[in-house]
Amino acid sequence: MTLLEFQRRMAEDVSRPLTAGFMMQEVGPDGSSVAESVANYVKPNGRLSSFERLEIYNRQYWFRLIAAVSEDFPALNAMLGPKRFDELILNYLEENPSTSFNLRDLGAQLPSWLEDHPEFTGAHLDLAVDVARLEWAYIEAFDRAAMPPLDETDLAALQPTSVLALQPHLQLLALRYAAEKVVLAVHKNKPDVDIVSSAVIERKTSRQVRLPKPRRSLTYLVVHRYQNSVYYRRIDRGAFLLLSAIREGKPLAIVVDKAFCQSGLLPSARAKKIRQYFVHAAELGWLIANPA
Amino acid sequence: MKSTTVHNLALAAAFAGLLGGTSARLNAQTTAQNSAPSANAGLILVAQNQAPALPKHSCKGKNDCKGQGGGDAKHAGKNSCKGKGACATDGSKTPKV
Amino acid sequence: MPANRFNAFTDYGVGIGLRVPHYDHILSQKPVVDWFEIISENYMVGGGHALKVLDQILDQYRVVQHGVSMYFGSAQPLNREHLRRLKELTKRTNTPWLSDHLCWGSVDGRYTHDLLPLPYTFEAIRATAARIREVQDFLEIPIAVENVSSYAEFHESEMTEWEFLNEVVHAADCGILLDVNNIYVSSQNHGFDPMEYVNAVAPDRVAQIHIAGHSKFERYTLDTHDHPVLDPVWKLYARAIERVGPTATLLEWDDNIPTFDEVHAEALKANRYRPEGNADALPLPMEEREEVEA
Repeated sequence: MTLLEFQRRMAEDVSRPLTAGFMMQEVGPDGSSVAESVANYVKPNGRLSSFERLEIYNRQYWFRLIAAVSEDFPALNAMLGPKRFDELILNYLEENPSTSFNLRDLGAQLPSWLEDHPEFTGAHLDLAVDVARLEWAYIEAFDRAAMPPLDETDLAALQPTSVLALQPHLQLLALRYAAEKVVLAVHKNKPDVDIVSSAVIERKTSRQVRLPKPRRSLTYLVVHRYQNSVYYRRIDRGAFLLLSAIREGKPLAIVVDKAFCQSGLLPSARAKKIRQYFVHAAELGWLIANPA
Repeated sequence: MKSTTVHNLALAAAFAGLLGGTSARLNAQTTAQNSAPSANAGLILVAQNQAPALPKHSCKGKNDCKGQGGGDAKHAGKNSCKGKGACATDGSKTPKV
Repeated sequence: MPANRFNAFTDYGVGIGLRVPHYDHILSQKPVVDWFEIISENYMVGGGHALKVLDQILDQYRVVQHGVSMYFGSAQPLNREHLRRLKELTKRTNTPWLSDHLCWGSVDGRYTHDLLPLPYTFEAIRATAARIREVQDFLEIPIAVENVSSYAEFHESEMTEWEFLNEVVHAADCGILLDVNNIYVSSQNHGFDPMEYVNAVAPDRVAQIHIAGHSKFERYTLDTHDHPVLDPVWKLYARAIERVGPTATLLEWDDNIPTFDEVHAEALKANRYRPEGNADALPLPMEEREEVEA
């Protein structure tokens, strides 16, 4: 067996889904004995069989991945309940193994995957997807890059044909529910720090959260970072369309038309709104020079 | 003709907004540099009459090199992986420096 | 001997791993700590809180990078994007040396995020050494490879773990991050004498030493990093220091993390075994230190 063959074989065994009792499966997908197959390359010792020794890695693989992705979706967990949430995470990870060296990226596909798997959310698919999208947007806003915002020199060079860009950390969301109410309710109940003192062993545990039940209503949100903290900011449809056009790389002359493409607002009211959108975006440092 | 006027009005509003917002941000930065920490740039957000939501952040130190999932087979199960995450901490608090 | 080309001729004392629950304490209390080790991957992001804290730490402390996902022993080519981002971070931290594990963990673009043991074969030596050399050449800083805790042994192995380690570091011309807790954990799981391992390691290549706590279960021992260092591990540490000299030492504590003071006090126990140290000694403040010139 070459090193590569060895690693492919072990990776397959280590990442094989666990049983319902969180143990290594005894039968492989082709009906063969996993114990026999593992014994071909793992030595037993006086206390553990080859199967049991590899089982440590098999369980460790799943426990690490489950923990890593679960901690990024606490509100989805609270909303669905631990039983349904665990089932969802396991299925997600089976279909979406890690393809990044960084565990930080593990949950990236969960919102879109969830959209295609209503069986894990019951009657609340749309709200669950919105909550998952918002929780992932939070991760992105937390640690993606922040570039220098537009300054007076950049402004002096602006033309109607100029193309601006949005901060890489800024996330634009069009949601079907006010999902931030659910997320904030869960965050409010999380402990600030989790230090275990040998003097005080008792750990703070989060209380049972009473979740709000938002009504269905289109919600536009900017999730962004300001002074290294993440904020959710509600915006209106016009601002959403305008910022989306900037993100798509449209020149300013097109951006201003996009904001009210189907609106009956009077020109003066539109102009007032557009001015307001740009004031807020520039004030919060959301706009940057086009990196291209 | 009318639509060109509307378009130009919108464009002028965009430039005015960009100028106004950028000046406000730069002024706030200058104010913050010259005043006590309590009067720092956080005032921009407050001034906008929309209370910023500040959720706490879970730990972002996911990557580590410890083992987990311990316990002999008979003690294993769902509970073993609870609270055994790579990191069970909260890193949201802005350092007070 | 403690300052050598594998740790860029530095002479670091006893440090601890930088962990999120201690950020506030470190930044507000500014405790005297000889150095911090960071997990590189946790700071390989575009921006935000983690990097801001890191920059503040870098203003006041010495920092060394430790990675968990380079997988020197993987049989396939290195991930160039990973390397590029790692180099970017080394420029930020100015880490004098960089460590990662003697293990594998990814294949065909899928990552296990675990430190999987290698079969101790000549093919694995060649493949691993080649990757270490490539990383070292790309990053342009000394690399130290760490022995991992393991729970399985393989029929394919042709030598002991310590023979494998020595062969790899010789072929790669790199340093060793000697984790004496990992040696102990593996010795319990595989039934070898841990002292034989410590006695066999090439002393002139040891760039750094790790200490940590582990958990003993009925039928195996797990490297959990959630306890103080246990006596058998201190014994191995004492012997390692005897052979290698007072080398840069770091305590890892990753789960059930106690207060900063508790972690630091546990780390400083290492001074009992260091010729110039004593149990209560705090390291010198930054301005009073002199580094050994290259």
